[in-house]
Amino acid sequence: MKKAGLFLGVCAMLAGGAATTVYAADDGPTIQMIVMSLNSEYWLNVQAGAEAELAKSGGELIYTGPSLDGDIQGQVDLMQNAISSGVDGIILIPVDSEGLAPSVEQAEDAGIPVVVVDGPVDTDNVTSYIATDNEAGGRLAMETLMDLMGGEGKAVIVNALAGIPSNDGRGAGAEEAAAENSGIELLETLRGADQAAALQNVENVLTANSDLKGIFSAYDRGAIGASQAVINAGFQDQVYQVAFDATADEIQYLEDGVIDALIVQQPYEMGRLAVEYINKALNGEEVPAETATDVVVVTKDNMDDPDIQAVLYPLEQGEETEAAGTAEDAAESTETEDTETTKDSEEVSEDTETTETEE
Amino acid sequence: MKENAKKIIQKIGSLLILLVLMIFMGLLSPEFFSLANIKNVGIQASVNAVLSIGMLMVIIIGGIDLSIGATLALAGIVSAYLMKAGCPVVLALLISCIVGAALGAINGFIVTFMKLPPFVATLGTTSIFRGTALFVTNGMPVSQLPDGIGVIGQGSVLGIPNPVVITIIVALIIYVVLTYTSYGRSLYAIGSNYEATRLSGVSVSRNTMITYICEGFLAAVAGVILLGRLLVAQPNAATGYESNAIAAAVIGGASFSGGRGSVGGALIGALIISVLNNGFTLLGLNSFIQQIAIGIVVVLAVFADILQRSKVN
Repeated sequence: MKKAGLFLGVCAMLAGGAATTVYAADDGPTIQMIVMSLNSEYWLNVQAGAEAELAKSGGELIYTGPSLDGDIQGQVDLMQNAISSGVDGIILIPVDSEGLAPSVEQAEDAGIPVVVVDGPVDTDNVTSYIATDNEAGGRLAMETLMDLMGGEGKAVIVNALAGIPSNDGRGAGAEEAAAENSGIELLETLRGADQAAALQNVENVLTANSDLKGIFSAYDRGAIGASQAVINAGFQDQVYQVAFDATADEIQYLEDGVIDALIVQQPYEMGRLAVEYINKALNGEEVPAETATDVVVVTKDNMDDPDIQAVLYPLEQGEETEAAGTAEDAAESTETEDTETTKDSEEVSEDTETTETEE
Repeated sequence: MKENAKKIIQKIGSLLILLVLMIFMGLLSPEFFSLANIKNVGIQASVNAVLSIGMLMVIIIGGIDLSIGATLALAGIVSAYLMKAGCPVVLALLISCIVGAALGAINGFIVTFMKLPPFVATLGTTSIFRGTALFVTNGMPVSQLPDGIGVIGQGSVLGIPNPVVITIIVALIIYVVLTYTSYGRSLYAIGSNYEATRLSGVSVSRNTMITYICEGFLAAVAGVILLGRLLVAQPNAATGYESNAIAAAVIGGASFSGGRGSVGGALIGALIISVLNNGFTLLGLNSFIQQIAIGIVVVLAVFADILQRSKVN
């Protein structure tokens, strides 16, 4: 198994800068997963959820993606390859909503169900779309941040390069929330492709705004770069940080008190649902056109709760699917996502207000 | 004498642009000339400065190296793995620099012995090095490194941040090599007239080889600085850094046709790019407009250099 993966990986890299991992085959469907890029460990959670669900029916998951972020052509190529190799289903995490639309339609027309995860694709000819409501997530993040800041002061959003639907949605939601609060002065959004760019941008902003009070990082590598800038400048006690996702480094910063709250999505659940929907579609059953999975606010105070642990470490919880209680809950509450998130935000903001002391 | 005057004017040309930019930023943003921000600019320029000094050497002999970003990433990953395996930090970083030199030797071998044009050779090795970095890490960043590595990025000597100290040391060494050694002077000769230099008895292929090895070594040194700043080695680190390094060398007066360029110029070029990035963020300028402005300044800086040279002639 490993050797096949290695070989394919090398071939794919030589061909177009992409790597491939092949997992054990069974009698079930062959599903190709195409992620945004191979350099973010976040997508491994989607993969793990898909693997767990696929283990029930048997089958094979092919994990692929371009090696770099923002490579629309790379994803289109992988879609074309998937279609021509005749896989049974495709799980696509698109880097672009328009650029991938023709390939998605082509796959559907060829009878291959496509489930789009994380960000939308501009077409109705798609089996299903599963994602966090990113705008609501961004809004929740900014509300959490504003609560931490006591409702006033300078804040800045650290985002990825423009054009990625999920990140843009979070940014837009956060800006909207900030605009409703006159006490918050939102600086020009900082954009960068990686951690190095985020580090540099935040260092510069801290120099120009020594009274900065809040940072919302809309993506994991941005959060890590921003945290390093905050530590280097010695601003840990002054600047509140809220960040999307929960990579190992982000969780460490949460434990250290550099990041105050993480807005955590449920990629494991998304991967699980995606495979479930593809299986259903292959059996001719109805699947929901759109599913919004929940986001969870994680703070230093609630991070040890078993439910939250399951969300933070989906890979470790993954083996016992029954134990993933929150994931199941989220699946049930998929359509009533809005009320769910507001409830979360109130609970958490109360928690954090009582524990954070101004220094 | 005339040569010297020419060189001085060329150097002053880009220095003038740097000074004008700094005054401009200083007038618009009161924080620009604060000590903290001057350190910032220095630290932020350091990775590109070290890369551009290496790039400069290759450009002087009429070559180019597109693989420096990938070299940096691969060398960084090797040292990160070594550190995680318990290897002392200093030793791991040293080995990383040797790996960089070895990758440079691969470039040098392809250029000198397989006779590929440097552009094509390093385009190919970029893909090989980057692919290897992605393959061994499975695309994942290598993080949770020992604390010692942070000293390089965050520590300082006599108040000067370590990344800047490393850059100054590198710049001084390469300046001395280029100016006072027969090897260094032969680089200008190779770039100006390859055939004549070869016929005059200089071992052109040996010196070309050494130059690519130096370039790989310096890319790894830049990688050490980046690792000290980020505390994580990423297989996709430094993607696109080659264009900034080329821009810095060219702004500083290096010529793509070879035979021309100086360490001081490359440093000034790297500083110009950093001042632009830093200043525009201080001013709160929209990030898209920043990109446009940086592109315009690069074109103008090189244009000014061309004008000045034609005047001197």
